[in-house]
Amino acid sequence: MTTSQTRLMAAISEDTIADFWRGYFQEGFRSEVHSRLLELFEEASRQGITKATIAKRIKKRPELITRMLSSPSNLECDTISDIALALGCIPKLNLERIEDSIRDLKPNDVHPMTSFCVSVGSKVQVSSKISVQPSNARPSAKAKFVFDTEECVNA
Amino acid sequence: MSIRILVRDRIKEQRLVEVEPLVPVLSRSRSVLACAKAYEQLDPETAEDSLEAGRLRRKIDNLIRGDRIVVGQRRNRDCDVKRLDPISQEVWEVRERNSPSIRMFFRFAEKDCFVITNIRSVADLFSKIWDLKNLIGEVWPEWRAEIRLCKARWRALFITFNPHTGVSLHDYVSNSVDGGNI
Repeated sequence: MTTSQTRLMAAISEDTIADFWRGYFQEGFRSEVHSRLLELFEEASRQGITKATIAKRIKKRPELITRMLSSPSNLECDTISDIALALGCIPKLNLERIEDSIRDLKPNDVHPMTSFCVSVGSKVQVSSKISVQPSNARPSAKAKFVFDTEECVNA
Repeated sequence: MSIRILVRDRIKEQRLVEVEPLVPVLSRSRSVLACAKAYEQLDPETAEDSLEAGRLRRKIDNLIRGDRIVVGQRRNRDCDVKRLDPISQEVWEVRERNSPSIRMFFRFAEKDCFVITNIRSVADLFSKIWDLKNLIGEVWPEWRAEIRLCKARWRALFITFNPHTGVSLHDYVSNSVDGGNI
């Protein structure tokens, strides 16, 4: 098992799963749903089915369908079911054991840049935590991650 | 000299980090590199322990995995990735629209190779009150500032190498769909 997998298993074995990992897997599931719906929509499009048709079938506005298909989002189960039905499908769920899901996999398709740089493997070791929380429409005191051009030029 | 040699050198100098998926994947058909500062917000060791940080990281990992992405044009708001105006600057953003909205600014080093230079929340981008006189060509000043910053950081990393350019969407990224076609 790699270092990151060990770290992942440790993190999700805690009494309380860290928000980072919860968010990580939430996004994974959202992406999977979105990807499948988009695939179905593209198949349907080739047969002449439009967003307007789908919207009408499930009593939603076409712009909502556009938004749902454009990027992953936190769709309700009912909405997923409705869109799937409108596209001629019934949604099913498959839950996979974590150990099976994160088993060692060797990628069979690696970008040339990755192949070229793979021998380097250096990572930046940092100890400070940086926030991505938004300010409340005030200049952010946490804008540590915005460093000025001078630093960049001198880097 | 190839840009790949510069990338390798910057990784050795720890000014760039190649992002590796946190869970094993069958495909790494895309490459994502991040400036050291930006990577701090993606690494679970250093990022804030928040749902948003985890989601952001997963978005990047899915990108690396080669997942289908929606690429927007001009005013298209419903998309995963979009090139900012003016398009000649070749500065793009990865868009996370769910609250809090976050933007990751990047350029392409090659097809399917992203170099992230900065990550900002949209609320922070709009945190300063701008005089509307500064609104030139409907490009918000903060986005213009981010474009300048992206270009500056790119220059610092890659000196005279220009970012990757293309004619069509598929010259930049594979397995993508034009947001206008959805």
